[in-house]
Amino acid sequence: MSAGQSYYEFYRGSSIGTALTDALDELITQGDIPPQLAMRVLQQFDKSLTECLQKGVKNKTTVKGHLATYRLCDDVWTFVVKDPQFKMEGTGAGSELVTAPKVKIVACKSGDAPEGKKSGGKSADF
Amino acid sequence: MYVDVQSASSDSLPYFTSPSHSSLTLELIPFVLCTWRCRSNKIVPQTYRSIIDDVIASVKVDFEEYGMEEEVLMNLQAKWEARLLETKVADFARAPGSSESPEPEGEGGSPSQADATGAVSSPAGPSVSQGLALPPLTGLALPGRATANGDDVRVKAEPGEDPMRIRGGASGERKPYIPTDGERRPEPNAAGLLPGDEVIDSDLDDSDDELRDDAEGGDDDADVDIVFCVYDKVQRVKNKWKTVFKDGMIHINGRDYLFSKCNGEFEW
Repeated sequence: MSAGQSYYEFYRGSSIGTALTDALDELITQGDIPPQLAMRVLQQFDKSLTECLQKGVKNKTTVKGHLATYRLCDDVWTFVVKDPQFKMEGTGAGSELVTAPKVKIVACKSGDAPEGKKSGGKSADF
Repeated sequence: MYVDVQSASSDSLPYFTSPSHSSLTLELIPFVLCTWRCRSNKIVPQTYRSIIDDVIASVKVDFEEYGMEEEVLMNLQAKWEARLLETKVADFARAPGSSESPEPEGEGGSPSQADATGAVSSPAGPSVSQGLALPPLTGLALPGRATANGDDVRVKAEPGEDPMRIRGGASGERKPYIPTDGERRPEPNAAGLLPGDEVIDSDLDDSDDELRDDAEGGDDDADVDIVFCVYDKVQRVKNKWKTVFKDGMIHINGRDYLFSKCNGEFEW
């Protein structure tokens, strides 16, 4: 990862991200840390999470379902899928089927997060 | 790679994951716990472990620059992990189960009282999974741990839910054609703004049936099923959609799953 790379912030909405923001919030409220430092931690989180996902996770998954809505805005796709069936392939044996009534998929364009610069998002692996 | 991570973690944080315990319990758990979630969900703890370690190690310098005591950083890590454990999105418990008990870690006290009510009213989905996850542990762990679990649903519910709802709500109903709104909205939240702010926004959801539908679903579950990922390809032929997603975090039925690649096939 190059030093200048920017990273998506939307993963902050995930479980681990909200856990972190809640924790930071608490520390700020208590006056333990300045907000700027918290922002710095979150930026680092964006980076660490992206790298750990890219390097540490090998699992493949498939999802099928009925597409209720789709939306493309500013290079961000949002899908609402009814009755999705996720087939999670494990690292070892077999795969696991997970279903739900509905799931929302928020997908940013792969590659560098286009922060500031407009079209930096196109990645080599497209 | 994560071997390093794990051994590193055991020094600083005995209760979250420790190599010795995880190797032991990994063999035992399938009998005691579920069989249905042990597979792909299994990588979640170790991945989160490495994320946390990486973040904490990387921001150490920044904490020093701000003149923070190291304790503050440790405190952040402890709080972060405690909250993550509370979410029950994966079987963090199985590794820490035995080693965690000695460390209720500050968190347990205050929230656990608040939860007493919250736990009761907690939604079926998560509590069921807790039910499954807990029994084997409670034998080992302290009562404090049980309450911590109960409260997680509550604690998690509000902050977790609002950003999601906003995401759906804001982008669609407020200015359907101005995506930036929807996209950026969650970030300030994530940055630690008050949940209260969002609650106000959520009134706007009423204007859009479909999105309200979303929000309601969220209410029921106290949890929105959502996937965060990046896309490589999105193709459509007539009403058939094919997508290639990467680097995803799935949150579904109160559990987290990760994928490196995900092919999607949808019919509209």
